[in-house]
Parts: sequence; C-alpha cells; structure tokens
Amino acid sequence: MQTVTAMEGTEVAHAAEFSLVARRNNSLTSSGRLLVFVFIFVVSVGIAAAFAAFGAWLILPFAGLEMLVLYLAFRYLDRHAADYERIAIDGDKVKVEFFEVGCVQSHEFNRYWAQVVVSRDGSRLALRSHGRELEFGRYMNDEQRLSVALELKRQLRGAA
Amino acid sequence: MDAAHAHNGHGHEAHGHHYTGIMRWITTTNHKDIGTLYLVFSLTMFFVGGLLAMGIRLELLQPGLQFWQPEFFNELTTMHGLIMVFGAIMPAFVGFANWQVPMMIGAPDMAFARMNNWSFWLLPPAATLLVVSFFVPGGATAAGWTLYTPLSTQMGPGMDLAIFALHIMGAASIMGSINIITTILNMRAPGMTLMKMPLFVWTWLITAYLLIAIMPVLAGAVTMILTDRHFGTNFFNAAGGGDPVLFQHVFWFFGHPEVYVMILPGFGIVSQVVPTFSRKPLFGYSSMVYATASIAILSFIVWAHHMFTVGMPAAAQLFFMYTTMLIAVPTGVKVFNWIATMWKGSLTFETPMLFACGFIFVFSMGGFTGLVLAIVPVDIQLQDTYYVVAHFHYVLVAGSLFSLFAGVYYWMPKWTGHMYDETLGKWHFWLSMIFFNVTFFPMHFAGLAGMPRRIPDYALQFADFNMISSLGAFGFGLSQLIFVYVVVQCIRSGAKAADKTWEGAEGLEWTLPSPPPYHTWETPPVVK
Amino acid sequence: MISKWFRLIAAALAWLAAGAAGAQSRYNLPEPQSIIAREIYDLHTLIMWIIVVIFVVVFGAMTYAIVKHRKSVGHQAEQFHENTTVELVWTIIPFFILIGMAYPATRTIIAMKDTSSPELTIKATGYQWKWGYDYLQEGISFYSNLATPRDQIENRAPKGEHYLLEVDNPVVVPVGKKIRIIITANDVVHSWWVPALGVKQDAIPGFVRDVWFRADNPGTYRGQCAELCGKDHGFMPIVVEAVTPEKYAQWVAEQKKKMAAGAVDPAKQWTLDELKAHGEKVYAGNCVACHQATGMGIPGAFPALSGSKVVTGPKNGQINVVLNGVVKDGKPTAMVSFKHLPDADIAAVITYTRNSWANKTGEAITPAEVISLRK
Repeated sequence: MQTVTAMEGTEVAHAAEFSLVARRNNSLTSSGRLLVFVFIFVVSVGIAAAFAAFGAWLILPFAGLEMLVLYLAFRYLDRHAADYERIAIDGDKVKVEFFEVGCVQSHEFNRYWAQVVVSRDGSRLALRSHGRELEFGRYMNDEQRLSVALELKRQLRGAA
Repeated sequence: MDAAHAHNGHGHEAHGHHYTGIMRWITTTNHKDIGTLYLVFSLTMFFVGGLLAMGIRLELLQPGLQFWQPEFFNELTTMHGLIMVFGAIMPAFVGFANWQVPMMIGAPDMAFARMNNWSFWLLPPAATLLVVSFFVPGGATAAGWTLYTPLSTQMGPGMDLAIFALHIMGAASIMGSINIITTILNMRAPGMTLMKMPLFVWTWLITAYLLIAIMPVLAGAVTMILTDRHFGTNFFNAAGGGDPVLFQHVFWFFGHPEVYVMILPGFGIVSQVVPTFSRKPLFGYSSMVYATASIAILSFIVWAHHMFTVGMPAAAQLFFMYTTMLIAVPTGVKVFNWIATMWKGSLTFETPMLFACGFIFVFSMGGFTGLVLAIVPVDIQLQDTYYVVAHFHYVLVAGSLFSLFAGVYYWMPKWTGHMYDETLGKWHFWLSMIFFNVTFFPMHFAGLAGMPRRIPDYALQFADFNMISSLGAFGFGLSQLIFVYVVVQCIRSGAKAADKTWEGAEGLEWTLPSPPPYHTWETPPVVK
Repeated sequence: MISKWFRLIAAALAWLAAGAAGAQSRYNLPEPQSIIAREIYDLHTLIMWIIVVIFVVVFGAMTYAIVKHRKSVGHQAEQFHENTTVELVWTIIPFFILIGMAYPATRTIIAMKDTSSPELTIKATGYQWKWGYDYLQEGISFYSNLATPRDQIENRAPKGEHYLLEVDNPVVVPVGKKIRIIITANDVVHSWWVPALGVKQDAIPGFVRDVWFRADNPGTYRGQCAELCGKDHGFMPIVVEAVTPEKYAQWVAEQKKKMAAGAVDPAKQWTLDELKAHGEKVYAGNCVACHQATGMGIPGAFPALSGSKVVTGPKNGQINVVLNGVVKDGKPTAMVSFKHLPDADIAAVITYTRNSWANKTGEAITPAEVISLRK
C-alpha cells in the first residue's frame, strides 16, 4: 500500500515525546468512490436490464454478480481508507496503535525493555519485549522501514 | 498478544516470504511478476494461435482440399480467432497494464494484489480447455469465433468447453478490470491528477471500464447458448419461439466494444512511444483523452454494423451507418495528433518507433477500409468476404500487435535492465511489416472479387491472391521467431540498460532504476 | 522523348479512366449487372477516391516529417504541444467529408429496401448444404446442389472453369423484370449472395427476409453462401441465370412438365432394384454430405450408416428418423427432418441404405409404409 509517513516530534495531541504515523494514500475521496461505483452500476445494470427486456435475461445475473464483486472492492477501499499505524513514545511507555476499519488496537511496551528488530533488507520491522514481537510498517517500503528502525533505535536509546 | 500476530499476519503478505522457483510465480502478488506472467502467457498463446493460422493458410495455398477436411478447417478458423482475441491480444495488454500502470502513476502495487494473482491464474486452465477441445469427440467448436446460433447449438462437446473457457476468461477480465480501475483512480501519487496521467494509463482506464460494461454480456450470451444446448431453453431457437438474430445483437453488443478493448491500450502505447522518439511532447494531450472517451462511448451504439445483412429496417441501417462513420472523427483526431507530434520533432527510428510508425500507417489503412465497410450498400457486397478479413487483420495485427511490439521494445530495457539487439529488432520490424502486407493486402482484392470468408476451398479466380497470402503468412509466422530470440537474448545477455533508456523519454517509470526493484513507488513520488 | 512521355501519361490516364468507367478488373468488385449493384460499385469508387486523397495528404505529411524532421539531418525539436485552431479544423473537416459519403449511401439504402410490386417472387431456402427454390406463382420447386464433382475437389481430376461455382439446377429469371427473393433457412443461418446483382441477405431459420434485383443483361451470375453454416459452407454456391422473357416462359413450361413427370404414381409397384437405383440418387442429393458416399459418416460428427443399428434394425425406426429427424435433449440435431421429400424418395433412400455397404437386409420399403408413418 502507498504510504504517507509523518514523523512528528512533539505536537501530537497527547504530547508524546516522539510520534510516527503511517497511513495509506487515497487519491479518490469517499464521495468520489461512491460516484464511480454508482456510474458503473447504472450503466452495467442498465445494459443488462435492456437485454432482459428483449428476452436475453441471463445477462442480468452475471451483471449482478459483477456488481457484487465491484461493490466488495469499493467497500474494502472505503473501509480501509482511514487505516493507519502509529508509534508514540512518551515517558517510559512505547505505545503502538493499529487503526483498521474504524477500530484501534493498542499495544504498550516498556521503553527500557523494548527492542527494535529489523531484517537486513528492511522487509520486516518489529518491536520486541519479554519475548513478544509486534510487526510494524505495513504501509512502508523497505527503505522507509530501515530509516524508521534507525530513528526508533535512537529514540529508545536516548531514553536509556 | 496472539491477536497482535494474527492482526499483522495478513498485512505483510506482500512483503517478506518470497518463495523461490515455480512457487514464487504461483503465489506472487507483485504486479511486475504478474505482468511478466501475462506477457509470457500471451506470447505462448500467440504462437498457438499462429500455428492454427499457418494451418489455415496451408489449406488455402492452393484450390482443392489438400490437408484438412472442411469441418477441421472450420475448427482452425474458429480457434484461431478465439485464441488470438482472448488468449493473445487481451492478456498481453493486461500484462502491460500490470507492469506499467503502477509505475506510471506512482503506486506501490495494484490495489488488490491477491485478486491480481487469481485473475492471472484463471487463464492457463481456460487456455487448456480451449486447446483440449480439439481432442474431444467432434473436435473443437467450428461455429466461428462469433459463435452464431443455431450453428453453435449444433456443435459437439467442444462447444461446451469453449463456453466454459470464455466464462473463466471473462471472470479473469472482470477481476483484472476492477483492479486496474481502482488502482488508477484510488492510488495515484499526490499531484498525479487525472489530466496529468500518461495517455497509456488513460486508455487503460477507459478500456477497463469497457470491459466491466461488456463482460457480463458475453457471459450471458454464451450461457444462453449453453442452456439452449442442454437445458431446453429457447433463447435463440426459432422453432421454440426464440430469435437467432437476438444472439447476434447480444454478441456484437459485447463484440464491438471488445474490438476497442483490443486497440485502445495500443493507442496508449503509441502515444507514449511517438513523443519519446520525436523528442517532443505529445500533441493535443487533452483532445487525445476526449477522442479515446468518444470512441468508447460510440462503441456502444454501433454494434449492428456487423449485421447489416441480417435484414434490419432501413432506419436501423441508417442509424448504425451514421454512428459508425462518426467513429472516423475521433480516430482521425488521434492519427492527426500523432503525426503532429512527429512534425518538427527530432526523430530517431529505434525499433519501438519503427513499430509505432508502422502502426500509424497500417492501422490507418484498416481504418480506411473500416470506413468503406461502414457504408451499408458497400458492406452488403463485402460482408463476410475476405475484404472484412483483411480489414480486421489490418487493425488487429498491424494495429494491436504492432503496438504491443512497440511497447515491448520500448519498455523491455526498463523491465529487464538489459538492452535488446537493435539490429535484430529492426529486422523483426521490417520483415513483419513486409510479410504482413504481402499476406493481407491481396485479401482486399479476393474479397472485392467475391471470395467468402471461412471457406476451406475456393473458386479458381481467387487462386493467385490466396497463394500470395499464404506465402506471406508463412513469412510473417517465421519472422515472429526473431522476436522470441530477441526477447530471450535481451533477458539473458543484453547489455546493461540505463535508468532512462531513451533520450526523449518522459514519465515516472523512467526515474526508477532499470530493472525496477521488486517493489517500486512505496514512497509516493511527487508529480510536478 | 516528349512523345514517349506523352504516350505513357495517356496510357496511365486511359487505365485510370477504364478503372473509373467500371471495366471488369480482377482488383475490383465484379462488373455490376443490376441498378443496385451499379450504385454500390459507384459508391465504392467514390469512397476509394476520397480515401486515396486523404491518404496522400495525411501520409504525405507523415513522410515529410519522417524525412525532414529527423535527428540525423540535424533537426531540432520544437516544443509546441497544442493548437486549438488546427485541432478544431481537423475535427470539423472530416464531418463534412462524412456527410458527402453518407448522402449517396442513404439514397441507395432506401432503394435497396424497396421490395414492393415485384414481377416475380421466388422463395430461397438455405439448407445444410444446398439451396431450395420455390417459384411461388408458377408452383415450381427444386433444390440446387453443388455440381462440381468430388474428384475435382479432392484433386483427382483437373478443376473446371466454374469450379465450386456451378450447380445442378440454377435459378432462372427473366431479364429486366423486378425479381423479389424471399429468403429463409431450414437449419442454421446462411446467406444468399450474388455479387454481380448486388444482393446479399442472410437466411435466418424461422424468419423471412426479402431482397430484390433486376438483371440488366442475360447471363449467368454466380455467388456463394456468405455466412458460416457448418462443414460444407464453402460448397453451396448460388447460380442465377438471367434469360430473355421468352426463354424464361419456355423454361417454366419445361419445369412444369418435368414436375408432372417426376410426380411418381403413388400406386406404382417398385422392385427392390428400382428402389435401390432411385435411392442412390436421392442419397447423393440429400445425405452424402454428412453420411458420405462410403456410408461411414465422419467419426465424431456424423454417424456411419454402414453397420448402423438404426439402419439394420426395425424399418419403422429408420422411417421415423428420416421423416422427423433426430431430437436429442429436446433440441433438433444435424439430422433434420426430411418429410418434405416425396414418399417414394424416402422409401427408395431407406431401401438403398438398408442394402448398401455392409448392410444387407434385403428389405424393400414401399412408399405406402412411409405414408402410414407420416403424421
């Protein structure tokens, strides 16, 4: 997925020392997606209905099936439009948030125990503490993950 | 804790876990891998379909029946059409879309990477069904690629296999189109507004839209043949109150936009190639976009020009004649724009440019004969003759296929990181161009003189034209082996290509290293 | 020197004029023999010239650019990329050219559609793979089969002048009269096409369409089925013989006499040999295309009759098949009904098949047996 990463030092709402947000890029607005879907729907179902009027009704179920797939695709885009990941470091806590389809999952680590795990090629980035590992950086590419890892390491060390 | 892992599990599929060997290709969700798969698949099917064409031309080399019985000859023509349309040309353009669209709009991958994998892997089973149908009792379907009823109702089980294959390919096309539309609309990099998109992306956006509109029509049409054959329905069976002509209306409502599905992305490729080698921006970008859109819209109201001889009322003939003639306007605009792009440029003629110029030249000839065929009274004489065969091969072989070749030579250095052999590329172009015209130009005369299409044997006055066509076809077929050699050599041992392969190339894809890394554009580029 | 050039130019002009005047050329439509065919011919010529002019202008410009604006001759690229005036001009001019083409075409279309007040009406029916003709006023009916011998097709004999374009019974029409052809089909879609007369019309099963022509000159005009209709699509030509009205009247009288003679006396007693001999002819006209002269059919497509259970089984079973065709899963198969044939023909052809190849039943089927099974 496409990403917009923002590294913010201090100005986040709950005033964390360090905060990082990664989110998807949507070049279509929510109403834009609706408009595109409605346009395709009207034309496709219109064509199928016209043929049905002339007796070739078996086109309708196929058009319906196709519209279902199209609807699911657009719903997926819409539900995931606002997804993001955030890491916030504040005091002795490292807070990791995954926002997906309107739900936030939060995980907390102790800043002094948390370790940054990153594979050499940057394909995997995770935080580890007490034997538990949490992957991060779904919307980033390899280079971004490597640089984020570097920054996180600095931040965690800085506290120590 | 566990939840965290589960939560993160699926999000990372696109990263990490790279399989190797065959499993990499089966499981891949990477748009470049899938693009490569599409291209390899379509090249394979191009040769399968080409082999059938050689079979057709072999029988037509001389009058009389020499090699095949008429029934098998009809199987050859039918399967040549189906395989070339659904197995070679369409997947090749989808392959281009997979490779180029994300790179050109600055997206990290397609919107639905997993679905992308499915839509490709549906194709090999469908192609297998088509090829296997030659070996079932009664052989492959011999009703023509248009599958006209009631002839297709008479066919053996080969027809059912073809119907299933079309269903599967249709499903693949629909998934592919949804993917392309959502990718183009929702995943453009910041600053990449619609009117800044490269023309190739525009043409694919419109093509994908056409596909979504027409694929259910094809699926419905073949399903109605299927139920007419086996489940006692009477959609197209006159004896049961159905209408055989209804099938033709349904088929061509799909079939005419389908024709543009096979040519619009070709317009897109040529619109990328011509400016590069003219070292000049594309002339009339916005009119190109509007012309493409008009062609697409008109394609929905011209279908019955394929059916001028079924005996429709004069008013209907006039309507479809006028709308069909109208298509010449936007198509002409495109050709004029390409030539204006070349005008006062600084032209060089590397292989992609040769194919693009060849495309403009021969495609226009196909367009001209299309105009001739749009005139109802003239079409009455020429419908279902070799003139039509010549016409649609001028637009499909010299049009779609040449634009595909132009695209492959243009972007292959980007895809593989290697340069192809320019000398051999030029040989490929000139031999293809010459043999193409030797093959198909005489067909105009055969058609004018009255030779019907889809016949295994012909009257003696057509003999000379057919012999020339056949010899040309063998030459054209052999020339394509050069292409395979060039591609293989380029991948294995071509010289290193620069990031920006062509001096005049513009566009996001040329700012990436050649070949691009396994994942590109995960950092959105900024479009000026 | 000058006279040589002059002669060359004169020759070229004469050649062009000949082309324009419609002299028979193997590179053009066949010489038109009816008013509609002539209009089509002229329309085609007009459009070809328009196209040639556009072609020369457009590709002249492209060629000029290719030659003069090359990098290798040192041409520097200019960077213009739009010009509203030029773009409008080349959008609007084609409109006017198109209108110039559409106008004469529209006139011809309306003329082609006018099938009113014909002087003779003939019904043409497409069968797999032959044409059937019914002269509705005269009550003449016949089938028109390909007359080219199998040996020529299979390269065992030299091909004749009208190879594949010759039939046993041509359609005979009077010259100068408006002929209306009503066209339909019995099985699949065919297309009735005679290029010199400017007529092509799909024959659609279950539907009737009509076209008209008026032949200008006596002559034989040949065409072919133009819509893929299965195996022998390439082997069902159409031959129209246009003759003077007197000769036409003579032909009609002959046909009527022949039909009267051909109507077999229902009370006639047939011997086995007579039935077999007559049956062989009927077989050659109706059955051989699928079931083949060897009676072996085509494996996978058309069943063999030699050794067939139907042919060597009970008589009534086979009579039923021939009369009513074979229906499989509620759909007609390629074995269509032959009940349009006279009883004697059906009896004879069944007798022939039951006593040919490997089939040696020794049974003779009488026309009476066929009548008793007709519904």
